Amino acid sequence: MVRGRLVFISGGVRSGKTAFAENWLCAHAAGRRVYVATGRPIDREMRERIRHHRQDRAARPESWETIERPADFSGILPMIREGDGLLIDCITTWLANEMYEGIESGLPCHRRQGCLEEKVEALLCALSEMTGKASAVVVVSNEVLDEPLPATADIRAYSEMLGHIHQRLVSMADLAYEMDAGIPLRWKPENGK
Amino acid sequence: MHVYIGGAHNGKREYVRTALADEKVQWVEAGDLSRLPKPESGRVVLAGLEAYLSSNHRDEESALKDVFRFIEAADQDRLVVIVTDIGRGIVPADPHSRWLRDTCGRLNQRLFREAGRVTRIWYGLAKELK
Repeated sequence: MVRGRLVFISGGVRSGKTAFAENWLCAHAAGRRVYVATGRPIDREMRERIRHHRQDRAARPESWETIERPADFSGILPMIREGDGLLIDCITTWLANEMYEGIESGLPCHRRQGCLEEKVEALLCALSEMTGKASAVVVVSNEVLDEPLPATADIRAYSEMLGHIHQRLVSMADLAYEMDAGIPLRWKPENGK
Repeated sequence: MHVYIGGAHNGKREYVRTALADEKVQWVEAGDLSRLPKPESGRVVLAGLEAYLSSNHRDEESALKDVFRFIEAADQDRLVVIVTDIGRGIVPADPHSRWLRDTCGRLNQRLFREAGRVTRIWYGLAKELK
């Protein structure tokens, strides 16, 4: 079977990146449309946000399967069927969830030597395996690196790791788009269809 | 002058380093300095201006004067300036960060105006803006 395409879409808050990702997937994916949600309903705002995204999907003409997966994407692999179109939303939330994994034991992942690096490699590996089965994997993330250097060490480490992941994803991706106010700017490939 | 711009951790330095791999370069990492050196006559890369301005200046006029003294002394055909876009986030709560953001924004506008080439780097990919 042909490898599914990997698509990276990044944009600012409310830039329309999820809608663009959904439309792209509807136009290009062969099988089921599967939404991989990373948000955790930890407070009222998050619950509202999740409800909003669910409503948006329910209002669409096509149907979606939803997989709730805040972290560890390798666990998604057995749930994927041949030809599925996957939408993973989003890497910023995934990274925050993985960074604080194990916090209840007093030592979150980002304070354990090499922990986060391992999780990043596992993420890239899982995405690569997904494209072996799915017809398309669309990965959504946020543009949050265009502001003054963050003040706390945690947020600095987060920003640095996010930039690193984005660079790796763009390098792996067949297509890469930056969303700005609802308008997609295609960075990769630069020319052609 | 060739200016590269992009967000933090987008691979700007790496991109420039690779592009200039065969050349002898005076690489000025201004963030570590308390004053800018004299540019040499060959290939010069100036980076880290945001941190430099943040720790050494409080006034926009003197900040820009300081940076452009360096830029004007360099060979314009062989000067590369790497700047980080810090103007797209939420307005910072701390007044010095707000000052820095404004000063860097105006610095960038002037750099773009005077540059022969402007390239934007987005996670390791490049797009020519000018």
